[in-house]
Amino acid sequence: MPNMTANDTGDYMGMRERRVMSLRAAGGRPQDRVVAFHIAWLFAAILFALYSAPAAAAQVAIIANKSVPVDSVSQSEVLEIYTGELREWKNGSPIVAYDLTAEGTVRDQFYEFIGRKSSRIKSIWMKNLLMGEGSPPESLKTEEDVLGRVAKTPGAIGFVRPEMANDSVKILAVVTPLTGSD
Amino acid sequence: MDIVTYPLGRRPTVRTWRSLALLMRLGYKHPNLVLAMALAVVLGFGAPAQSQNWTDPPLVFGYFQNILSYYDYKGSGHDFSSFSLQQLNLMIQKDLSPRWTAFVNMEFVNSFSTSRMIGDFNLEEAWIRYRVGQRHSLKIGLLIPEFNRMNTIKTKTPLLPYIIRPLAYESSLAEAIAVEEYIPTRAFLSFYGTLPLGNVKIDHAVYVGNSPNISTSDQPGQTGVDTSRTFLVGGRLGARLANIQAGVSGTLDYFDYPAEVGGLIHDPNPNVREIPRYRLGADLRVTQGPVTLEGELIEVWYDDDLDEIVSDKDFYYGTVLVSVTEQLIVFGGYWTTSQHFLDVAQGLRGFELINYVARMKIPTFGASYSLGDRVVLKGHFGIVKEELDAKGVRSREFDFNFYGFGTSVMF
Repeated sequence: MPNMTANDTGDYMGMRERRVMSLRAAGGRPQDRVVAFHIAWLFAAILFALYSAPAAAAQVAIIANKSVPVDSVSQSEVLEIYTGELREWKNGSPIVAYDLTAEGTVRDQFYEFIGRKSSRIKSIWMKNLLMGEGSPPESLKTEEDVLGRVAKTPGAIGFVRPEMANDSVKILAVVTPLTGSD
Repeated sequence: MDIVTYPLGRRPTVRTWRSLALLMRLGYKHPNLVLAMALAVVLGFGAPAQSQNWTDPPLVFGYFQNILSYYDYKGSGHDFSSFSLQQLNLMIQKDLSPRWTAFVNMEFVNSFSTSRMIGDFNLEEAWIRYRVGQRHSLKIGLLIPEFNRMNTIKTKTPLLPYIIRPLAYESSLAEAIAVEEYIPTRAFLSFYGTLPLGNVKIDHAVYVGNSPNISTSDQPGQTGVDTSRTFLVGGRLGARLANIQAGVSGTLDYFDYPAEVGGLIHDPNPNVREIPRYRLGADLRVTQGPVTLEGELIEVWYDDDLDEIVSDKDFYYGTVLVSVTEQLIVFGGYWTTSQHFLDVAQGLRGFELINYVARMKIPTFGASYSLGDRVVLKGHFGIVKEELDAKGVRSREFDFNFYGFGTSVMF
């Protein structure tokens, strides 16, 4: 038998014996290990929920001026509007899109929804600008600004948190973005 | 048409005309001063590149690219390096109404300076666009026609990671490459747009313009332009699906050989005028994660029925671009051209036509790094091999390496 130190002792004990010893050392009883096991799982689940909750729960409301002749929009239509491909509503009135200046949860969630990174959208607009195909949506500082401008600008579209939207605008969609934009 | 008009002020008075005359005299004596004043006035109308309303002043913006280039002729002693302002473009855009937009693009190349007699100034674009419905537009005026993916963006240096563009698009190589024969550089009327078809978007464009180089004189060397007889017609049909885009392009225009060519051909009644010229192009761009593959081909042929003359041309390029980070792109590619052309030379029995074939092949590598949204640093390396055959015999070949470092700035 090789020379053993105090630290090596555990290697020669059964797994069950070690667990019982550790519980006893902590002042618990053998049946407490089931409770401890469940508490550990619960703690892990809470951590996971806290970590993933903002991405899963945050929603974005796509809002529009009440003059806009549609009641809903699809993801692809919103993408086309915010990349300058779609410039008119079905009745021929011009689309006026508003963006947010600062990157934040709502803006990030919005870009997740349309499936493009903010940097990709910037490069698309740089190309549009240099080709004479138009300039990017006006960026406003706050969601309150977006709400106000959309409410008073015919043909306008924007995005805010759902709880921000009120009767002054039309809500075209409330979306929960999926992750994975290019 | 609901163009918003603005009052232009009072009618010109005698005093106004005197001021104008004074300005003209000043311009005659000090052209640079007047140019500077004009630029200041234009720039004074500038507004940030943001969404424009038709009641807003014109947007003024542009970009320039400075480069340091070094040509290594591999021990021949002809190496040289040079700083230059490769290109400066000044653009003005004005939305005249929700459907009408005017756009002007002025281009200065190769450190343009009239006092030093170098470089060039070019009115690249000046058009007005009418939006037809949700997805179509009509452009009228001087415009860059759609031909393959690269033609309309070839001069927009902030959009490209390259310093030297894929060969058929590189106007600074005009002495070696017949850029205007490979690609249509100008049109004057274009209808274009996009049709959604399920998940696929169909891009289409048709345009008309002038045939180039229509000589009105029988004298040698005359290349005056007469646009009254023939036109350029062309278009592109493309498709986009997720991260794949592809398209085919084509043009037809008419070309005149120099007048003296007719007298040197042994055909008793040669037709060297209004030769139909066809261009065919194809482009592909595929992105998968950080990797993008882009490539194009262009074939140009002349339907001249003259056995003694060959002027056909072709061009291929393929580049792999890798986005290492959002700012850093590295690329590697292979570009090649083959050009048939003819020249007149004095031989033992007098003047004769000589058919040449020039080939250029460039394996190329480089990187670009974006500093913020408006500044791009670029490095570009190319191993250039040129060959020239005359009458089917190799008459000249030389190799050199190109090293370029540049800064592209958008303002």
